[in-house]
Amino acid sequence: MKPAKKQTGPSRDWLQRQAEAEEKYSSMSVGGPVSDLGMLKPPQEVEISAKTVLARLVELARRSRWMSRQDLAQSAEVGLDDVASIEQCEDRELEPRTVHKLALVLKLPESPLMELAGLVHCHGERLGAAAVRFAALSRCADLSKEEQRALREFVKTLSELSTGE
Amino acid sequence: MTTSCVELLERETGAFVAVDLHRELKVADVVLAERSWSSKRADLMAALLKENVPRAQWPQSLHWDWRAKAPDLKLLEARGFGIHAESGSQGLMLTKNTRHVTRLKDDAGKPLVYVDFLETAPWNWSSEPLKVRGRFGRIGSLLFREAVLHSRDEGFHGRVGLHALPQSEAFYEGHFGLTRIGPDASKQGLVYLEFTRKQAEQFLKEGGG
Repeated sequence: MKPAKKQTGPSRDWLQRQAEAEEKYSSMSVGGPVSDLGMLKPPQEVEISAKTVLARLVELARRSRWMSRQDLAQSAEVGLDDVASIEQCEDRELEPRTVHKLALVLKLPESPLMELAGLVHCHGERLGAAAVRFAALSRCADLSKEEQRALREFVKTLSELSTGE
Repeated sequence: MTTSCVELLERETGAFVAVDLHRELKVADVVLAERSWSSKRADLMAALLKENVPRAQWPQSLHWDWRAKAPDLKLLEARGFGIHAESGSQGLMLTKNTRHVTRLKDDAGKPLVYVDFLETAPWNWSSEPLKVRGRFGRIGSLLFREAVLHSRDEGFHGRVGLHALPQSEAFYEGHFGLTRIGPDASKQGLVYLEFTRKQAEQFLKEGGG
């Protein structure tokens, strides 16, 4: 490799032009071969992060019972850091026991919860579709009526999945 | 790691924010960047679903995962570039500098720097349907400029090639003036574009250098 030449920064004028141009164009993404990243897959095949869905599900289920994170950790006999880690969507391995205990306290079906936690894989597409719908409707800070409805519907789907309906 | 300071424009405030531009990213840097981007991708997808935004208007790199491409950085021909602010990684680019040659008549067969992947962080995307304005501007331009400078430093005279996503074709063809070669069947029909030696010289002369 040749030694790098000393690089001077771009001119202010150039930078200004780029900033204005980037406002006009919606995307700058470049990529290929696209199959590596699943790019251009039909959008319905797109998977939302299961851990994101798990985070929202646990948070909403906890709040719907008026529990703090501390309350939930104590009732489920799990670490407060486990609860915080799940709700903050941290990339951390969960123990099956933790998921089992949380499912018990939050009255959520255990097997799909295990799947969302990445511990098992059994419900596939149906769970994925329900999870995407749920994630799309559960972002507000307060537990709105819309969130309550989303939570009820999602829990119902999880129950159906766990009973094999 | 070769690093220098560049300024991004914070669109909302109009302020210039000094950030680091890294030229030798490692696998771990890219994995860490995607870790923070992936939750934002999921949030954005949820918002698009909630607002019933037609799929055709979804960002076409919404479901990328840089972790899948990160191992390529171990290759001698690969180089990773990234723009990093205090709040995290703002943009990534992966280039390759062997096995790729120009397809244009003028310099046919001569080597170029190929931009394998380039993407800005999801919070920097503007979305008309969601009425969202991306936080920082200039990231794509600064990364593309790095590809041109890298090509010059490699002795390739600024020649660059890339396959743009359909939503990005106008940026590279219309704004930077890359020459459109056409859809490439070997890359799932993505349009291939090239920056010639002459175009690169002009680009650098006009302030990009």
